[in-house]
Amino acid sequence: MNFTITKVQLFVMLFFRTTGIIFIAYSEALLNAGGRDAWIMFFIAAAFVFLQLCVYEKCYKYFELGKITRWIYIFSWVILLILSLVYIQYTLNIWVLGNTPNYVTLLLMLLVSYYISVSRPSTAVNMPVFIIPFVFVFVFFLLFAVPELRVSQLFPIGKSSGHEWIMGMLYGLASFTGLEGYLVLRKYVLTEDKMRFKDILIYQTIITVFSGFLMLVVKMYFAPASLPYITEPTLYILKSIEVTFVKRLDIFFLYMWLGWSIISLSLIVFNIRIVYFQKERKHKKIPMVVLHLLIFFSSIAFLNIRSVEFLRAHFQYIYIPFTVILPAFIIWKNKRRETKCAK
Amino acid sequence: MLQLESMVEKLKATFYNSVDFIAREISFPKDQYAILCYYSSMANKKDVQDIVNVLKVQTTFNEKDWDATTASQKEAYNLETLVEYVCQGYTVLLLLNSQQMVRFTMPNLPHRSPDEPTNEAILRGAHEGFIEDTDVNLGLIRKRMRVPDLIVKKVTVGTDNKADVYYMYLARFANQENLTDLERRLNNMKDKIDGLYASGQLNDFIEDNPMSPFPQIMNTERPDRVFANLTEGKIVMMADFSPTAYITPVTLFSFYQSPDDFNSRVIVGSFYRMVRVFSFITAIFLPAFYIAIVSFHYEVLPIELSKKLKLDISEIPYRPIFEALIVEIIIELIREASVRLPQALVQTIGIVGGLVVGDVIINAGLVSNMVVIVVALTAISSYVAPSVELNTSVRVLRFPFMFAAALLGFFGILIGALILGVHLCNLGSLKSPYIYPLVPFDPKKTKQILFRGKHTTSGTQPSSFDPRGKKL
Repeated sequence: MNFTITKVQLFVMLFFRTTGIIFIAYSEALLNAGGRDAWIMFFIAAAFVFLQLCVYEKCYKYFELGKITRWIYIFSWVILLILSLVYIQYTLNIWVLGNTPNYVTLLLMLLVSYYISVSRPSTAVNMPVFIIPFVFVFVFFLLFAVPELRVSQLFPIGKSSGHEWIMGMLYGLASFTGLEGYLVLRKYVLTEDKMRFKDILIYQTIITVFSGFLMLVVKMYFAPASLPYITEPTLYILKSIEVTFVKRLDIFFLYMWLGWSIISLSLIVFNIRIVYFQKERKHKKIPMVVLHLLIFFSSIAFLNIRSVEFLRAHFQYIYIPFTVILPAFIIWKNKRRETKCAK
Repeated sequence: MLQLESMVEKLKATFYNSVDFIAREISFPKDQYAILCYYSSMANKKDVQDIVNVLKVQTTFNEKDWDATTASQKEAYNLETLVEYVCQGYTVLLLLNSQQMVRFTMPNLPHRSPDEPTNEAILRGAHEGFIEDTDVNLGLIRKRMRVPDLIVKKVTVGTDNKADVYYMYLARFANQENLTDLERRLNNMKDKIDGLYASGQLNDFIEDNPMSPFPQIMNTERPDRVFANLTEGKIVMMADFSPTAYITPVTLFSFYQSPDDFNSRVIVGSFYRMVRVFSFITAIFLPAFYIAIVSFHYEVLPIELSKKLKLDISEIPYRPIFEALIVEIIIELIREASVRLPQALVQTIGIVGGLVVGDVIINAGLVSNMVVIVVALTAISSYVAPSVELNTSVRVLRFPFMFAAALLGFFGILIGALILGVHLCNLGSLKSPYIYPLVPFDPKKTKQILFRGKHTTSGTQPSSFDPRGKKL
C-alpha cells in the first residue's frame, strides 16, 4: 500500500484505536481487579506504555512481519473485531436497541466499516478527526459530576494485595490495547516529519489524562463496594447527571461511544488491510468483503452473554503477548538479521 | 459582376437565406469587388460603416498596412472560417479579386449592466456582478487585479454549436498539477458535447464525482469572490455568454465564506462564519433528530417538554416521518413557486404559503406545532450558506437522514452521518481534498474554518486550499 501520514495523524489514529470500544467499561474492570491502589496502577501502566513507545520509536524499522507473524496478527485482530462487535451489540441491546434485530445493527455497523475499508487509505486515516470534538463534549459533561465526587475515595492507598497488583497492572496496560498499531503505521509517517520523544510524551500525556480522568471520576463517584454491580459506570454517571435541556444524557453519549467504536473498528480493519496488502500497490475488494462477511457471521454466532463474560474476563491478557512479546520477538529477530522494513 | 452576384447568392445559401444575414456588395478602392457579410442582429451597422470608411481611406492612400486598425484583421479567404466568424458575431469584408477577407472584431451583442447578483447579495463591499458578456466580465476581474501574471486562456468546446470556455489563474499561485488536470478535462469535453447549453455540462465534465450531492465547483457571479479565490491559487472558468464563474478546486468550507466576513469586523465576521457552519449541521440533522426523538427516544427530553409533545402528537393521525414530510414538501413547493413567480407576487406566496397554509394544516390536525417549528428552522438554516448550489444539496441531504431516523432512531442518524463522513473524506475537487483542513488533518488551519484572522496578521486569512497542492 502506497500512502503517507503525518505524525499528528498517526497519534490521532492511535488515540482512537486505543480508547475506542473499551473506554466506557475499562474503569470498572481495572478498579475491581486492582482494589484500593488501582488508580496508582493505571498511572504506572501509563508510564510503562510511554517507555514502550520510546522503545518502539527506536526499533520500528525492524518491525517487518514475516509470513507467520503476519497471520498471527491478522488472526488476533479478527478475533478482537468479532469480540468487540459482540460487546458493542450486547451493550446496545441493554441500553437502547432491545427490539431491533441484531443482524440489522451488525450489518449496518459493518457496512460503514466496509465502506471505509474499500475507500482510499486517507479516508481511514482521517475518519477519527470527526470524533475529536466529541472528546471535549464527553469530558465537559462528565465535569457536571464533579460536585458528586469524593476525593476521600482515592484513599487509603497501599492496601492492595500482590495478586491485585498483578491483575491491576494487566488491566491498566489493557486500557492501552492496540499500541502495536504504532509499529504497523510508523513507517508510513513522512520522513520530513521528524518524530521526537517530546511528541510521544505529549501524546502519552493526553491519552493518560483522558483515560485517567474517566477512571478517577468512576473511582471517586462510586463506593468501592457498589462497583462490581455496574458494568458501564461512565454511562451510568452520565445517566445520573441532571441538566435542564436533556433528561437522559447517557443516550447521546452511548451513540457517541458507538460512533467512536465503529471508527475504532475501522482502524483495526485498516491495520489488517495494511498488513494483508503490504506488498501490493492497489488492494482488491473481494478480501475485504470476505473479511466483513466472516466478522458478521462470527459475531452473530458468538453473540451471547457467555462471549461477553469471556471477553470481560480475558481482555487484560491480550496486551502482553501482542503488544510486548511478539513485537519484541519480531524486532529482535530482524535486528539479528539486519532486516529493515520496506515501505 | 456575374461572379460577384453568384458569390452573394452562394453566401446567402450557406446561411440558409436567413433574413438577418446580410451579404452586400460594396465598392472598394483597392479591389473593385467586395462583399460585406454580417448578421444584422449581432453587428452595429454604424460601427461597421465607420471601419469600412477607414479601410477605404487607408486603401486609397495605398498604405502598406491598409487593413490594420484596432478592430480588423486580414487573412486568406476560407468559406468555413468566414461562416465561423459571422456566427460569432463578427463582420467580414470579402475581397474577391485578391481572395482575402478582413474580419472586424466588433460583435455588438446585447447585454445588461453589471448589477449585483440577486442570489449573492452582501451587506458591505462591491455591488457589481458578472453579465452575459465575457469581455465585460474579464474587465471586471482585471479592474481588481492589476498584475501581468493573471493569465487567461481559452478552449473552444462543442462539435456542432461551438462555444468558448475561458479559464484564468494567477501564475505565481496556481498549482501546475491542477492546471494540467483541468486542461485535460476541458480537452476531454471538447468533442464529447454538441454545444454548451447549460452550466451543468461544465460541472459534469470537470467535477471528480458528478454523482455526489456536494458541489465540487463553486459558482459565483461576484467579481470580488473570483478575485479572492484567484489569490488563493484557484482556477476560474467562464463560459461564453454566461454570468457565472466556476471556481475550482474548492473545499466544503469555502462555500461558507462570504465577502461580508472580510468586510466586517474580526469578531463579527468570525461569529457569522460560525453561525453558517452550525447551520450546515442543523439543516441536515434537525428534522431527523426530531423524528428520532418523537419515534424512539422520548426519554431524552425533560418531562415537561416530553408531556407537551406527547399530547400534541397524540392527536395527529400520521407517523412523525409523514408529518415532517408533509411540511417539508410544502416548504419546497413554496420555494419552487417563489423562484418562478414574478417578484411582486413572491411576498404574497410567502404569506399565503407560510402563514395561511401553515396555520390551516395545524388546525386541521395534519401536523403538530413542533414539526412546523422544526421544519421552519431547518429551512432557514439551509438558506444561510452563501452558495445556491450548496443550499440545494443540503436540502436534498436531509431526506435520507429523515428516513434513517424514522427506521432506526439515533442509530440510523449515526450510521448515516458516518457514511456521509466517509463520502466527504473520499471526495475531491480536482483531486484536492474536499474537506481540507480536516482531511488531511491540519490542526493549525482547522481554526480558520470558524475564525477569520486579522488582515494585519500575515498568513491568518482562511485559505481553503493550500497553494502547494495537498492532493488526496
